Amino acid sequence: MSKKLLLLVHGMGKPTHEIFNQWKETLKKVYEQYSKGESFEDRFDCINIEYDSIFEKLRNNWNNQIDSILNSGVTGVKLPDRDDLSVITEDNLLTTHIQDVLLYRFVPQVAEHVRVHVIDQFINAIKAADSSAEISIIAHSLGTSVIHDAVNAMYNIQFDNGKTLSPGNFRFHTIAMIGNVSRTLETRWTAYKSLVRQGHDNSDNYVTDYFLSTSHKLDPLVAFRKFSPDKNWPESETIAEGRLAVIEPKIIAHYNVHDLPHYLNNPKVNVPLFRMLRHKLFISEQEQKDAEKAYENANPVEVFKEHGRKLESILSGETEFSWKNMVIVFKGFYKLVKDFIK
Amino acid sequence: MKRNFYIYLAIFFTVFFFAGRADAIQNEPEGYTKIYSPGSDKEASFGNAIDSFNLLKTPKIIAIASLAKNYRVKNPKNTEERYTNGLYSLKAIVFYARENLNPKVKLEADLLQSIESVWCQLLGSQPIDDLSRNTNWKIEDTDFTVKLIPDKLILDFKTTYLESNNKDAFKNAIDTLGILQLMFETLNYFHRKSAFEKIETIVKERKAQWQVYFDKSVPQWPWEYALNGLIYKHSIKKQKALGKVPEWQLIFVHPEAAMEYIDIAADGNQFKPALMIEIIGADFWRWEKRGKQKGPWKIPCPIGAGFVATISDRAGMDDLGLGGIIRFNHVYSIGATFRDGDIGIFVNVNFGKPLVNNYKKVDKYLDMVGLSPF
Repeated sequence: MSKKLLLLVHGMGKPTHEIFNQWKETLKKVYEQYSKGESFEDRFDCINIEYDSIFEKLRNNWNNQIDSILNSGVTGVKLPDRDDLSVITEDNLLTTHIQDVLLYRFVPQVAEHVRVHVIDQFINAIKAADSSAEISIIAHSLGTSVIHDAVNAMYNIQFDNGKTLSPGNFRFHTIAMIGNVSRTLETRWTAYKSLVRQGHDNSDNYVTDYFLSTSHKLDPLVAFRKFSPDKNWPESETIAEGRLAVIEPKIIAHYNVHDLPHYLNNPKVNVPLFRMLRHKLFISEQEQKDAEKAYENANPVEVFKEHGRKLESILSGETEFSWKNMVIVFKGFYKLVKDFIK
Repeated sequence: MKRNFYIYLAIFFTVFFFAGRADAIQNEPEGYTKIYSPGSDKEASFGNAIDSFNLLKTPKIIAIASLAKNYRVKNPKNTEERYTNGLYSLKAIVFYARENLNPKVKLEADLLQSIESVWCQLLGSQPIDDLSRNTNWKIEDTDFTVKLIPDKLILDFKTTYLESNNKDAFKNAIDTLGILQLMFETLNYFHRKSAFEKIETIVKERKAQWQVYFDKSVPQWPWEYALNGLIYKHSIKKQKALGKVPEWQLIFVHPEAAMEYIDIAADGNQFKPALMIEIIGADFWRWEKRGKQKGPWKIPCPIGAGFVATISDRAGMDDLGLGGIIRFNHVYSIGATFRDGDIGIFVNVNFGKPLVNNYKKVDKYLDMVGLSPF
């Protein structure tokens, strides 16, 4: 039996080994909750997919350019102090998070470079995998937009005078979009019309057998242009076959509602996810009910009631989609998380 | 009386049993019973067989079957149409194999032969409808490993378990499906591998080009990325896949440090660091293999030009000079500015950290050849 392969794609910010390991630990803990003794490692292999190195390189280049001018000994013009530029040169919310999103969304050269970088890693992983291995993607936050675009691009690359990779030759088993912003940041490919969709028949119009999208009700970062397709998207048959799950969890169990483990720990998310990754009867209805009950009991509403109220207030004022509102909500959420940590 | 009691008891248990079964079926997840429960008639039974065919290894079998899309009944409405599609799918496999396999390769030739023999089996001595219509299929979704054929062919169906009332027909069917699955997987593996190798070549090339664009071209400031982005966005509008990497770059209000020499400046004040702002300019290149760049019009290296302003504090002279610059290979620049009626010459070598940051070292070398301005 070949193992199933999970490609883990990070979100905005610097992905460290600790973060990826934390994800794996969460997946392992949740899986083994249902697997009746089978270990996560026996069934799954994980590969980390990163693209932050591209953003980091740009930041380093800018810092070098700034340093080269400041240290040049130029006279006749008043140059700013290095300290005055710290807001754009040092690690902070703007440079490590917002900047990633803005660069990906508004600078198409950067976005293309990111896609190529990710596709290259996909190909390496797919080529190294066993021929019959089922390959799935779990992407978070900005990573959902990146893989949405990268997968679309990969299936459109032309070779041999116009041939493209056919989903018939290779198709992902499951694509799980956690904290899905593929619609919020969409540019070249429209989220509801692209190839990144689940399928049920012999068509070449889909690239995954199963598709999961989740956006927490109170996650401010997924609130604008939320991925919320028509109930029969892309057609009713796939829904009937359980190939699509669009989930909007409500319970708050962590101050950072956008955090990937916060999503994965919730049975509303992890049950459909592992049913897709394994099979429909992997988790019984009763096990699902028990897990949901246990999760509710472990996370009483009172604990994060005030936090939830603040999240609601962040979202209530800025309902119309605009980049200005996005940034306001983003900053509000960041401040809330920071205050909570304090 | 006693006999009647036993009859009533038997009826009661029969009703109870079937009621229990119905309840069990109703409790199955939505979409599950609809597809995989036994058919009520022969055609439905075959429809289920086709479904099970798909279920055995959904992505790969469907993948190959999708090759038959030109022959298929679009949006099949009943089991008969799905049956037709199933047959056409198999037929397409043979066409596909004939068209695409290289007969010189033994393994592939064997595969072709195997496919044809199965095809003959399906349509010849054992027509597929006989094979399937007499079989009442039932599928349960659970982990299962099926040992299909004694000669080392073991298939892991993973989530599928099939059983049938007709053991022989079931064995024949599952053997056939198993062989087909193995062939599909192998056949698909060849094509998948071949497709990915071709895509990989393109992706690696594109990646190398982007790396050069970001690492070796004139470093762009955020506003330059934004401007070049607007231009680039327009240029890739009609490209469906990865956009081609640009072959030119707009330079706009681009500050950089440079060394400027002004002959009429006071002694000791002639060669000085200056802030150079390229007001507007452009760099041009064309891509060679493996991310290598050459210049346009048969020029051996990327080339660029622009209008510049230089600012440096020099006693008795304007701080500001205006002029032009030409640039070779993104990093070597030479330019001239006009200031108080005289021409200032400036140079720069920008390997990430411009020459000006190392001017003391430069001074040392210039001093060695008797040219030190400091």
